[in-house]
Amino acid sequence: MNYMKSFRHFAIAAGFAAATLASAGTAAAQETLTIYDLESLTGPGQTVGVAQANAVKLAVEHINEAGGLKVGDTTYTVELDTHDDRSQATAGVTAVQKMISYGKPVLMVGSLSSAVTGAYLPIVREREDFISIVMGAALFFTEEDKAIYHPRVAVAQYTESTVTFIKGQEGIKRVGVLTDNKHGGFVQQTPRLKELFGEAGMEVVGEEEFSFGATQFGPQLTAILRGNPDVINIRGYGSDVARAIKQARDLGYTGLIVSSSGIVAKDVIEAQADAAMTNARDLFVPLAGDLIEGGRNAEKAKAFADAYKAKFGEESGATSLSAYGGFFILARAIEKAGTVDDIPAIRKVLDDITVAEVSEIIEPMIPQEGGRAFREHQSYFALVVREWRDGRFVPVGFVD
Amino acid sequence: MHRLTAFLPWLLLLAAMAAVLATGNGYYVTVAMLMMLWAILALGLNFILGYAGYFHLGLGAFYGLGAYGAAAFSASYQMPMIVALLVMPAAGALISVVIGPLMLRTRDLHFAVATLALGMIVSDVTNNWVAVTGGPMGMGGISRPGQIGIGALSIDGATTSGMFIITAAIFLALMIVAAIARRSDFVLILRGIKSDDMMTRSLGFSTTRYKVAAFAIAGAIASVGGVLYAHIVQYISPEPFTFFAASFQAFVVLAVGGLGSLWGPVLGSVLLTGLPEILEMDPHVKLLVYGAVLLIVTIVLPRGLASMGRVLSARARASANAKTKEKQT
Repeated sequence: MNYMKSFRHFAIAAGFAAATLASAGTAAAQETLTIYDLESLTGPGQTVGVAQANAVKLAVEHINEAGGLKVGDTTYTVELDTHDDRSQATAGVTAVQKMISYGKPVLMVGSLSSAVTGAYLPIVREREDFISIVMGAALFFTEEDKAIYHPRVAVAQYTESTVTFIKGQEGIKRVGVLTDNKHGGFVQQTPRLKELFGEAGMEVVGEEEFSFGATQFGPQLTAILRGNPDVINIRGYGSDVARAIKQARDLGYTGLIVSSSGIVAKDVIEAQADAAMTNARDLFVPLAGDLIEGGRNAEKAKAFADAYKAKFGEESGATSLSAYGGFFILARAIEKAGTVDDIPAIRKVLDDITVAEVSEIIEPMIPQEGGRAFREHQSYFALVVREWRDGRFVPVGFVD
Repeated sequence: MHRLTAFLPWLLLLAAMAAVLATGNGYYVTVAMLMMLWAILALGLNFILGYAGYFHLGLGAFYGLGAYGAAAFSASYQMPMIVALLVMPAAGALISVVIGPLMLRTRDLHFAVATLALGMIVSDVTNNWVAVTGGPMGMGGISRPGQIGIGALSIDGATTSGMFIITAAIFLALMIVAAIARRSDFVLILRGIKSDDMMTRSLGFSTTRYKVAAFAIAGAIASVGGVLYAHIVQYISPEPFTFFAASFQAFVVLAVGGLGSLWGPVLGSVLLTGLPEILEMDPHVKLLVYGAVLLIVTIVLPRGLASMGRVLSARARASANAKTKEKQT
């Protein structure tokens, strides 16, 4: 009996000691800040979504390696809580509801597709406890979408840069336009594109559409060529654009082709379009390789590209740089606001944060009034003009 | 005793709904609403596929019709949700009645392909009729209903909980209608058509009329689902109404839950919507586990989850009989 009593006393004392040691340990350790990440890791969006999610992981790793986030007197180790939206609007909505259901302010990054972002937008639009740094999506956000910041090129920028570039070429009067009708952003921008061509003194002599994944462009191209265009503007994804360029050349068109697609060498090779790429230009947000070769933020871009390849064993994707930069914009805003849970204070910093304050931004972000990173929650970027030379794309200039 | 047992699933359903609502947790409430949406689609599909045996692969067309109609009523004409709830199912039924007699001249794979084409046409229209549907960018600005009811009995439809109550009320009403219909001569004749169309016709029933009616009911119920979807999510784009996202998924819910059963759509939607939410693991592993669970359910319970009770009691009886025989020998 006595033995039992002594054992109980020992157990209580040991428990106390363990608890004291544990709490002392906790006090000494860094605190953890959870940032939510909504990504398209499965479903059709994964081809682009995984590269975006990887870049976010890399940003977190770099922040933690550098000692974490210093917010006031506290240093935070950043922890990612990644949710897969399965490239479905409803899965995105439930994921966002799950984040909100924890009853704490939500700091979220990621979100790729317009369908997913558009679906959760009504839930978060008016919330005072939510920030979403949207790194994909073709939607255009406004100041009314208080919770959303978009440090990613908007499709409207492609429209304006395309017209600026074509206007700069000599003797262009007639334009043919071929658009992917499944690409929400391009479809939405078509009236604006035509308006801008008109303002620049050019006539749209043919306007045709194709669907994402199409293999035959003959009928559309024939209709466009009937108008005898000086240039054909193709807007869609790289693999489709490569096939369309090949078929345009097969139909005898030798003039200028300007696309906005992020086309890569693999697309050209798969479409057997190597010989067809002469006199074709692609305007896109610069990838790491474009910046390195084009000599713009080359050092940072190389460091990023090397780190990405070392960690994930592959090249970074079209959304990787904006995801990396976007995460650092949020991190810097949190540090500058000196709080992790006062969302209005962090938003205020985001509204005024300058490009110069976030040295980790690698993409050529165009500073807005006062050097700010956002104008009405949207960032703007210089686009790269690339052409096909000796079996690969090389940057030949930038459109600011 | 039998009557009590028959009421047990209803009590469980009501208790589950009340429990979800009581949590006040937006996440649980949203997941429950999505479960009800899928159950509603599967309930509709049950009439034409579960009872009549016709593979309707164009349900997404009617789901989309309801959703786009509701979005237009709300965002373009600022009309309350009730207008869409009355008009869109009627439109879904009417369109079904018009095209049904033509489509139902075919059956089996031919009918499946015809309905698949219907879904593709609607998908193309929603993608390309940009001026009306917003094209691939979709439509936003869909308002939820405001205050409904009086005093203590009123609910705020604008909140997630309020929308849950509206969805639950409509879902329960459809379940009750489905339960009554299941015991009706109408469904008995549909089952007759499924077994032997010619024989049923030889008994004096105009089978085309019954099939068109089942097709119209499926279309109307899917339209109700679409109206609810538009007001729950408040944003629509073509993708959720495509074949793989809607029609095929509704088919899987019904097949896993149990074709021709009342509770199959409910059980199927709980498993298919709930499982991905419960599984906390790497997304790719999650997909594998999800697929494996579906495969196991389909193999072990070929008649769906709704047949689980029967399968278990049959196995229990068989093992009891075996033991009795063993004792006798």
